[in-house]
Amino acid sequence: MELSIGTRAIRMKNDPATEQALIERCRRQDGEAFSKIVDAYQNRVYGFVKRMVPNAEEASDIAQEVFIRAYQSFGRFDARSSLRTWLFRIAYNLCVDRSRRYKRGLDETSIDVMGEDDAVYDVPDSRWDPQSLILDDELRAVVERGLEEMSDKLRTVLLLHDKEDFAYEEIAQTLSLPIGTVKSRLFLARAHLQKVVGVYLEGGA
Amino acid sequence: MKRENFEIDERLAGQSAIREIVSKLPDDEPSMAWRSQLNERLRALPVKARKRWWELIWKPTVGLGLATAFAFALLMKPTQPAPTVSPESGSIVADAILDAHSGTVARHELGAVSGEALESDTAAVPVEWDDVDLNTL
Repeated sequence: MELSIGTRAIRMKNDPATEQALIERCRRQDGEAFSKIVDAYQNRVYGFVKRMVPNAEEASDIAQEVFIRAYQSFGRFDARSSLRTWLFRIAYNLCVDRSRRYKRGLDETSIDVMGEDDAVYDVPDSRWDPQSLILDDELRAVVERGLEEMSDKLRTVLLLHDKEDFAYEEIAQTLSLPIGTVKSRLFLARAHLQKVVGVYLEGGA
Repeated sequence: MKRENFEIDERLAGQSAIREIVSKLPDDEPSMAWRSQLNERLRALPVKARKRWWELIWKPTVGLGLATAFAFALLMKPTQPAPTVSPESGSIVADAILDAHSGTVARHELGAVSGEALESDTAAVPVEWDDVDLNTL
């Protein structure tokens, strides 16, 4: 488990017993225990929400709302899912609510990837070597822009799997989706990013 | 189905480079101001007062006690004593009936009361038949 004090992240030994003890205390509305939960997850939740909601101020507000909702409903957390899954589900639901308010909807963006040649996805280019690919500010900006371009549905799955390291089953549980749908969305999202990054690497960005 | 799963797994495995890139994306850390604001909002939440054990017990106990007292009061409510006939009063009534009977018999024997009068009081009442009654016969 990664814990952070304030905004300074520190690594801690992954200890489910510790987290379980914190959860038990949070169920009794223990503010100190909840503060530790916030410390542990604020960076990841904040980062996820910021990528889901383009408006920075709104994203900050929603990220806070995630923890407020969690604090208020800890009594109903039944531990059938992990705390991480639960928190991200709250975050996702709040982002979806926000999208609905703005009538953006969650329809799939018409990413033009399915009809193209598979070679587009399997780029045999040394520049695709993750070890040699330096994620500088420019490339980061390209990737972030690619993320913004895709639909909420694809972005959610991509961020949860590739950024937050969720398993397919966890994503399926968080988003209430079949695993097959999770995989196909992940494929589409990655394909879109692959295309965007490919264009950038070829000097077309 | 299995074949489709295999295909999608294969394709996803071929996208590992993108996964690597996304995993390296840095997270924007929330500011201290953000955290302070969150703490403020948490503090502003209405505190759900946790009930102590005696608070959980006293209300049902009082309710149960009141119900018991009410039931007890109903069951133990003093009722009107059933009328009892004392042997003395019973003999008085019996004596009165016997006296009345003896008087009537004596008057009958003296011819003051007709035999019919002894059998029925209503026999002495004259019956007036109207046309409707007569037609039913």
